[in-house]
This record gives sequence, structure tokens and C-alpha cells, in this order.
Amino acid sequence: MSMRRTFAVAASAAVGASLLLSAQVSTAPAASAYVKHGCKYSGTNPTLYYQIGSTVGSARRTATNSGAGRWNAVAVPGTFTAWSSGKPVNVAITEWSAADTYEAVTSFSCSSGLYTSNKTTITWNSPSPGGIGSNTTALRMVATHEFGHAYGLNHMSTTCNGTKTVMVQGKTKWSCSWGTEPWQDDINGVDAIY
Amino acid sequence: MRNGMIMTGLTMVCAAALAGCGQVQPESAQPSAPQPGATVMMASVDYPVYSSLEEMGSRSKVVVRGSFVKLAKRDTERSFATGGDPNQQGLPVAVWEFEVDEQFKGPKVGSRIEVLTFDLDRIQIADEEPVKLGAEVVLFLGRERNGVWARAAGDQAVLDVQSDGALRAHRAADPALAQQARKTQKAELETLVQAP
Repeated sequence: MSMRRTFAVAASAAVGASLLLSAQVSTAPAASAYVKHGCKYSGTNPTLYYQIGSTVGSARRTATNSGAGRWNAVAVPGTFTAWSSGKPVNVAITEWSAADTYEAVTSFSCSSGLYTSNKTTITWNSPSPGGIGSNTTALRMVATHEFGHAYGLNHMSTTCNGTKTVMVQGKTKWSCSWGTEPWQDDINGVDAIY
Repeated sequence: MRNGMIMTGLTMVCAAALAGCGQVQPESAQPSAPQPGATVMMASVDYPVYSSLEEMGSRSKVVVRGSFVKLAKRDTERSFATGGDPNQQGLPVAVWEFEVDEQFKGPKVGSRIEVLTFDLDRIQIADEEPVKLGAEVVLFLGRERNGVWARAAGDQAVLDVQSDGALRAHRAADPALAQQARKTQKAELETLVQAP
């Protein structure tokens, strides 16, 4: 920060305020706004097996696979892999109709900063209380968001003009025309955790 | 600092508290004392996010003003859920008695209703505040199961009524809703939440 300020003062003296502003923008590091929830999987580059339960319907099954695939498509530690016989279950995926009005919840037990049994659970709630319906992009982004929680990320507040992050709650992530998740701040967050 | 708060919170609920399902604790009960190395149940809960009181009202079946009176019982989500794996218990919940002073929307409910929340004595949820008994609040209620109502969007659906009648959002995920609440008097709610 102090180096940036020094550079800014020099630039201001030399070429005026307008150039100063552009120099600050071009030299500023990317802002990191991610938030950790305080628990994580063991290891630095874990292979994480997710098991989709038999009660999960086709829409959320597809969304779950797509959300895992979105994380696997970017350069972050860890890989989400569909469970197969003999493998541990690191992320259990379920679906039901809860009384509460959440879209989905990621839950876990935590001891000394690590998940108990190296496992989390993602529970989908249907029908969607917020009216997502069959919006496949929205469902996929909710899945990517939940896998972000599984990694260890917590919620972020942002706006369409703010930091792009899949960890924002609600429709912001699919209604702001940000493109495809996860975004750089999400990647930075997982990098920082593992 | 935020991480420090999280870690402090991590130590506040001990594994023994998880065994308390079904037992009604004293209303003033606080989370158990910190225990080093304790196992803590945690969850990140994703509710719909509403940008205005009108939008949240349109997704709510009932909107009421009143106050939480007492803890009725502790339970698990399974008691109020349908479908899914029958062995799935879900997360710990608390059922609260809520005294209704005024109703702004929905089919008439009684003077006392039951409202479901997660049981923050048994699970740590970052975006939820503990229920404050006796405090005047407005509740936006979304679903009813077995005679128990659930909030329309978690803690976002709980608005504090301040001494001057203005509202304050507990945890508005959308700043626009928090801002609107601050500028809204409880007397204006009926018009706002009845909008189609």
C-alpha cells in the first residue's frame, strides 16, 4: 500500500491527476474479498468424491454434476469426482422438501479446522422457494456455490458492478451477465484455503 | 478479524449440546462454554435474496408483527420435511411461540403461532442471529408444515421494529432491502406487502 502511495505521489507531480488515476488502476493488485468459514478438507490437493443420493431429482442431479465440473474446469487445488464403489464419500448430495425456505444448504461437523470424517453434505430443497424453477443456469450456479462452501468458502456480499463471485447469495450471480463461474475471487479463496 | 470471530464461534458450541435434541432448555440458556478441540456442527444456508419488501412480501404467505415469546421445543428438520431419504434427520431446529399483535398479509392466523428456526444452540450458522425473546419484530413467513411456520428467507425475513416505528433488517443480503427497511414505518407495511 505504501509503495502504491509513493508511486502515486511521483506520478501526480510528473503528469497530473488524470494519469495518476490510470497508473493506480494498472498497478493495483486484484482485490481479494473471499471469506473462509473456518473448516476444510484435509490435504492440499484433495480428490473429493461426491455421491448423489437416489432421492435427488434429475434437474438437481444435472446441476450438481455441472457445478462440480465448473470447479474442475479452473485451476484450483482439489478435484470433485463422482463417487464410485469403494471410494469415500466426501460430499453427500441429498434432496427433500424442507419446511424452511432455503434453496440449498451445506452442512458439516468441524474439529480443529477440519471436517469430521472429511465429509460435508449438500441438501437441495425443492420446490425452490425463491422461484428458480427449471432455470438450469441458476441451478448450476447454486451447485457451484454449494461446492464452494464444501471447499471452505463463506458468503460474500457484492453487486453487479462489484467483485464477481459465485459465493454471493441469491440471483446476483446469474442475473448480472458475469459469464461463467467460478470467478477469480473464488479461485483466490480456494487457493488460500489449500 | 472475521476469521477470528468465526474461530471463536467454533468453540462456543460443544458436541454435548448436539445430544440435547428434544429437551427444552431454559430460555436464557447460552451456548456451552468453549472446549478446546470440540466438534462443532456448522452450516452455510442459502436462502433466496429479495431486493425489496414488496418482492419479499409477494413470496410470503403471511406477514405479521409481534414478538417471540418462548422456546416451544427442539427438534430436527425431518419432523417438518417431506421426501428425501427417510433416515435423513437434517439439521437441528427450534420451534418458537410467537405472539401476533398485527397481521399485514395472508389468511388470518391465531394470536399465537409457532415459528421454525435453526437451533443456534446446536448449530453454528454465520448469517443467523439468535432469537430475541420479547423484542418487537415483523416476520415474513413462507411455508407452513404441521402447524409450524418457516420464515420466507431466513433471517432476512425478520425485521426489527425500532422505538420510532422504523424497521431494521436483521441480515439483508441485498443492501437495497436494508435501505428500504430503514425508510419504512411499520404502519406502511400493509400496503407494501399486499402488492401483487
